[in-house]
Amino acid sequence: MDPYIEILNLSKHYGQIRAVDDLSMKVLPGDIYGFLGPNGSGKSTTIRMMLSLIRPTSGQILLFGQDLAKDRYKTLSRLGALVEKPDFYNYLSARKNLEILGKLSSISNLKHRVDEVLELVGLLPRASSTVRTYSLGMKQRLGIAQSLLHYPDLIILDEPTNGLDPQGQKEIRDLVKSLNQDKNITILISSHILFEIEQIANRMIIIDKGKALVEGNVQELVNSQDRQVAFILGDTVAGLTLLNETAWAGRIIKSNQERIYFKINKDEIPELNAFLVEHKMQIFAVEPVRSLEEFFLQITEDEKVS
Amino acid sequence: MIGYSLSAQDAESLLKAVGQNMDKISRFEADALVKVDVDFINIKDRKMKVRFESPDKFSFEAEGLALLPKKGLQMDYLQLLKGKYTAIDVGEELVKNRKTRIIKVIPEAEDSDVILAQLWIDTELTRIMRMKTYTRKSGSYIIDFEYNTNFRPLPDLLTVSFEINNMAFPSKAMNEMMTKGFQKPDSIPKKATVIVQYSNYKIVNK
Amino acid sequence: MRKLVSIELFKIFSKPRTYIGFGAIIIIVLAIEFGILLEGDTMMGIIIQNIKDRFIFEGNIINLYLVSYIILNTLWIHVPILVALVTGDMLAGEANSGTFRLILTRPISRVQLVLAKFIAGWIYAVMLVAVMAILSIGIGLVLFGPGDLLVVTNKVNVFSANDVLWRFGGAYAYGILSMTTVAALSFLLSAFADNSIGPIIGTVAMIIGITIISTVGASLLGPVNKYIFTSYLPSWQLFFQTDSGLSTMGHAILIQAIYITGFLGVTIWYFRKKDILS
Repeated sequence: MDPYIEILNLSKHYGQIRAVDDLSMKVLPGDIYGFLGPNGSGKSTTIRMMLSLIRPTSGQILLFGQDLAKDRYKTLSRLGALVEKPDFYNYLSARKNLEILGKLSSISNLKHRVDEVLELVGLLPRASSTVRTYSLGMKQRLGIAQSLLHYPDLIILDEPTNGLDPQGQKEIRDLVKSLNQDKNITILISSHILFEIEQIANRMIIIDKGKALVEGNVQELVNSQDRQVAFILGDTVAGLTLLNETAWAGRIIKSNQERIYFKINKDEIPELNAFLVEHKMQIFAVEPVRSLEEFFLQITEDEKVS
Repeated sequence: MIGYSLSAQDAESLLKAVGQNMDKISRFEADALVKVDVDFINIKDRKMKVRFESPDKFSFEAEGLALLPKKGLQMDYLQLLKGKYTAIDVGEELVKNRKTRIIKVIPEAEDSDVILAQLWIDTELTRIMRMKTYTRKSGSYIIDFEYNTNFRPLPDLLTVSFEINNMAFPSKAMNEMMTKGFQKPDSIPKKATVIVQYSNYKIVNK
Repeated sequence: MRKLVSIELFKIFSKPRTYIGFGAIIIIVLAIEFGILLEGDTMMGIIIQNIKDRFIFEGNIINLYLVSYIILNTLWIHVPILVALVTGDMLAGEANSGTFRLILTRPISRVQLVLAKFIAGWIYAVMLVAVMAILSIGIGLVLFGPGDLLVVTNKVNVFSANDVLWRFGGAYAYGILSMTTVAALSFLLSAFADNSIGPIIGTVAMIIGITIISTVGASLLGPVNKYIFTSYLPSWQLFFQTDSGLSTMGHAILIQAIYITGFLGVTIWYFRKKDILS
């Protein structure tokens, strides 16, 4: 089966500024695909190009195997999207907003479908309220609802949890997971709350300054890198004295009164642990600090350095 | 002097005779067709009903909006002749093949609107053929009377001529300004003529 | 397309600003009608002072047609602002509210969307003029009754009552054409803006500014003036003149049509390729 999204050597220049620079990526059917990058890295620009809101300077975008530039209607009719913050016609009710958008997508049995998606996102009781009265979380959910109206195969969500409280973020994550697992909808989700990408995405790409840095399976990418691990010792000073006379010294990142932080891979953890026990150090805990966040910071830091 | 005095008496008598001719009419009604001919006024001929009731009550009933000259239609000479005036016979003239005497009339009343009037009176039929009036408020008028019958003092055709100041017209100004730049409207007064054609007289004599 | 137009019309008539236009028209018409009821004689006296020195007016000068004619004069002063208030918001408003991101990710063509919006905006402008016409004639009939129409345009023209209605019909139809030009201009400016204030004020400023420049600099701009659209916005007055031929009106209509096509064409061309960054 063709990838649902295939981007080939995509670029967007604004004068001298290269907002997107020779970017290539693939989103496969069934993915929850994380689209990561620091602010200003080109994520939103790329997403807007995927949705034909912005014209690329060069490169190709294939949606469902079709060239977006040549067959926009067919491709967009299988795709739903929420781009940046959810803006609606605030003077209209949620139901009316969705009816207008549904008419634009030529959805049959529209009224029923509108109620269906509103119920899916938990907004049916407030369907007749004007969007002006909605909280940000409700607007985000309405944004996801409008992306589902026309039974899309693929949804693109650009920072859907922006500005939400932790409870709201969790609700959106749960909704995304259930759409993927229960409704078989492929999802591309961009976010800079990296923790949540790690929670829900199976594949991802990290971009910076418009360029792709790394793409692949989330867990594989994270696990392939050195981790940060914190050891909590009974006597941190003694521990440091011991370690400083060994090769482990080069793996120490930092330390404080309670913890010594090491940069080691997964297999080295028991080795270090055995060394410390052998030298009669009391070990109270071993905490992996390493996560996608660290991975992200590292990879983008490496990019800066190189 | 005597000749002059006699002349003055003749003039006055003639004027009185004209007035008496009109006094015989208790009331009349007639149809009128009013044609206005002024360079900057565009109006179609208007049908009108004219009604008169002795001694001087005129009423007009027009189809739609009619422009009527301020002087001429209401037999202004009757008002003139009712007051005190000095009449001067200044000669004879043929007007439309009728022998007429020219009489200047100077009203004596100081508040009279008419400063001076000159009447050409048909001596045989004792009716006015032409009248030239100089007024304080309404400028000067020339009124020509035409009659199709000898048997009444009421005209069949009245032609009132006068001058009227030019007006500034916004649309015209705008159109000209677009092509020629600002053009001051010319201050030369324009000639105006109003022709009233009477018909279907219904006269009730006293 | 019909579906898109009905959606756009629904959006227009869901916004409070739309009703400002109709409210303003109602107020203007009522103000003029009652103003003339109270002071009409004085006003007409001043206008035709020159003629009143020499003529008596027999008949009803202050009538429904005169009042409607006076109201029609507001057509090229107030109504363009009210038209721009809505049409200037049609694209810029969507950009400002961010809703382009919602509708342009739907499977619809940008050209269709622009045309649908323009048609809906045009319908609004037509309704505005229609309300003005119906209200001025309706209230005028009740307050003043019919009569001959006396207007001072290129001459003092007096039109018989049975010669007037078609003139008003033509004038209002031409008025709709003029307002279509205004709508097209504000629509074009709206495509370039992310906020509707610019297009609304810009439209009004351009119309007033170009009118002033073409008037004051007429002797310099003489040959060019006949190709500037503002010169023809008040050409509905040709229906109340007697010596303007069909060719003058034809030229006015042609110029307006060219500008409408031009403004709309540029709007479509620009919007098709515009990056939606809002």
